[in-house]
Amino acid sequence: MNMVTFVSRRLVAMVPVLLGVTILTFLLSHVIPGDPARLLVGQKASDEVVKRMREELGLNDPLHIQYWNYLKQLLRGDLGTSIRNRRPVVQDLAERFPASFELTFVSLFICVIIAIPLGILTAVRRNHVVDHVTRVLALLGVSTPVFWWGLLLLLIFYFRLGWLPGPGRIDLAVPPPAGRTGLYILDSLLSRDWRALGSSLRHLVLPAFCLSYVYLAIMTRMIRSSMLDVLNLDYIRTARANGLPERAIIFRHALRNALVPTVTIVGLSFGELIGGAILTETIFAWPGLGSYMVDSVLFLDFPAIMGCTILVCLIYMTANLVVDIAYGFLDPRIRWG
Amino acid sequence: MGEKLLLQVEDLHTYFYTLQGVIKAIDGVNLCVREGEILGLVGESGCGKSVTALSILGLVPSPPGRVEGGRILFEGEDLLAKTPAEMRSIRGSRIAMIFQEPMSSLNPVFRIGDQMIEVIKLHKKVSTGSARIQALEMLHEVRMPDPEAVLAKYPFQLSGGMLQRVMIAIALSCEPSLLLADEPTTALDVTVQAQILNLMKDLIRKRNAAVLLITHALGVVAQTCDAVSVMYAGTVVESGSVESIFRSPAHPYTRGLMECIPDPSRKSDKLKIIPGTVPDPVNPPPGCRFHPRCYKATATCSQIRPDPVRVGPGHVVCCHYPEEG
Ligand SMILES: Nc1ncnc2c1ncn2[C@@H]1O[C@H](COP(=O)(O)OP(=O)(O)OP(=O)(O)O)[C@@H](O)[C@H]1O
Ligand SMILES: [Mg+2]
Repeated sequence: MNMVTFVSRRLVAMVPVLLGVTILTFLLSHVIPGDPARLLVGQKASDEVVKRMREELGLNDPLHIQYWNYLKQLLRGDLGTSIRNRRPVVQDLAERFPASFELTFVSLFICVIIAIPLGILTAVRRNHVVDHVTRVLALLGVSTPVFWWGLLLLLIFYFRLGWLPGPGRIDLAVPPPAGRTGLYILDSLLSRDWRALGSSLRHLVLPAFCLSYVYLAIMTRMIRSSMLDVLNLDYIRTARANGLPERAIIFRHALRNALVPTVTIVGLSFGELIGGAILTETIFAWPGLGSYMVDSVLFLDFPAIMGCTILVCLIYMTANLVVDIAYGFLDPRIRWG
Repeated sequence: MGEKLLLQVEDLHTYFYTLQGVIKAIDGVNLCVREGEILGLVGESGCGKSVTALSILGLVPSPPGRVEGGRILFEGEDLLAKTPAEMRSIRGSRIAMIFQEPMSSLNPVFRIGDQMIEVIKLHKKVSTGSARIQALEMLHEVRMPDPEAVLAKYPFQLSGGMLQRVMIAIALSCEPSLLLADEPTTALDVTVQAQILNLMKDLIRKRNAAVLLITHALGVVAQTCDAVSVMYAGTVVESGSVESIFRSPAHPYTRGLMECIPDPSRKSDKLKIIPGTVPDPVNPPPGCRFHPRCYKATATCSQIRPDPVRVGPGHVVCCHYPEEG
């Protein structure tokens, strides 16, 4: 089976899942207490206005017709209007998504480049000093809530030392870089806006560090254990019996096999973090999807909640697909199987 | 077959330090392999055959294992005195090893060709191109159909028998003078077993290399080997040429093993077994390790460990009361 068939088959398999999600979000909007029309027009509007709104929204149609209309609207890329700020939800998401993407990407990137060497090192030097230190740090990372780290980091590096900026993606005095991706680092690099680059990088440091710490802990331990598993396998013994140097055994023969479970973790973490870095985004006032979702929930802004749910689901499935493709590259048995 | 000694293992001790206690997996093993000779190493499961081979290559998993004493002389050099780097340059070039499970012995994510070329380049210091040519020649020699295509295949695309051919090709690609073969055919089905053994024998004879063939099938020994050493519970209890051991086994254990081979002409017989079980490697019995299972054991056997005695030309046995004739 070649890669194209593999990918297209997976894409087709995504359709029923997405349909399921739309049904769920649709039903969700119908089990909420209260009247969406009333929510939309506000408490002070007259009953007459509400009635007209109900007509307009099609809320008097049978449920399946309503779902069909909802689906058609979705396919046009219309996620409805936010109750909270009266803007199209799509527009909000388009602003929030790049912020979350940038934060998640940088965090996981930091994670991976530290976790892989550290995981290997602790597997090879198991029970030496590095291993013990990493174990303690990992335990700390997994067992301490992320908001605690966030507040601590803000307290030290922003309030006390003033080395790094506080909340937000960029200094208020600095205009965001021109560009269409909404990824400040990429945009400022493309438009050679060094001031924006510097400011947005400095703003990224604390939240990215905060977010990556927990995942770094999990990932390091994970790479360590899959590395240890692989190093005990028969083909590693063969490689040794063939006189290969330890370097080749670890970095070529073992690492490639040990990376398979790691890729899963990275991929799933990506899907998880992009809409789920709620605490970090809230603490650092990061205008991403996580904090948007929290605000929407607090406002019972259902079009926004539904839009977020569908977007996050889409991202999660895409991350899964990328993981599967990466498997195919790492392990020929999957590619050909 | 020369009379020159190629490998000499003297009083080897390899222990495993586990939570259950010290496992004396190898407790005083003596072995000799002459140049160009195929020596069979037989014994029940767990008697220490694999650990003996791994000790020779310096590949005992550590921790928990350690070679605690003895000498391993290979072409006159003591392998136990070598540095890790020196051992690495011996492994795969002067001593090669093949294992029981061909299916899991090659790295699943690399092509056969890449894995062969890697080893050839490492030991022969040649270019990738000429390593590739040598890999093709080797595959041809192990009678692999369509070697060119096999180079581009992944291990999971070949059968067990084919993979064992690849393993043999890799093992012999750098012209080792000694091949350690740890039950190379146990995982294969019977027809393939015979093919692989014959192939190995042919290639070995052609190169005048020696083999330490580990097996628990005496039939394989009779067909393939020149000499045989019988192991029991971490020690070698008897060794000699195949003819003299099969004609007149001197150790009661060897005799028991021979009687365990089913004889098709006497169909009604129940399968013979040696009574009792292999001793606990943490607390082995004192004296002769075999005495609790031996029909002729005496008080001496349970107190004094028997020294090797010569019962024929090149035929040595560790027993207080060797069988005669
Ligand atoms: N890594 C290890 N850790 C602890 N004990 C070990 C280890 N490897 C081998 N042993 C012990 O060493 C002894 C000999 O094992 P070995 O593998 O050499 O047996 P064998 O004769 O090759 O048996 P088989 O015919 O089943 O392959 C066994 O008692 C085993 O428990
Ligand atoms: Mg074994």
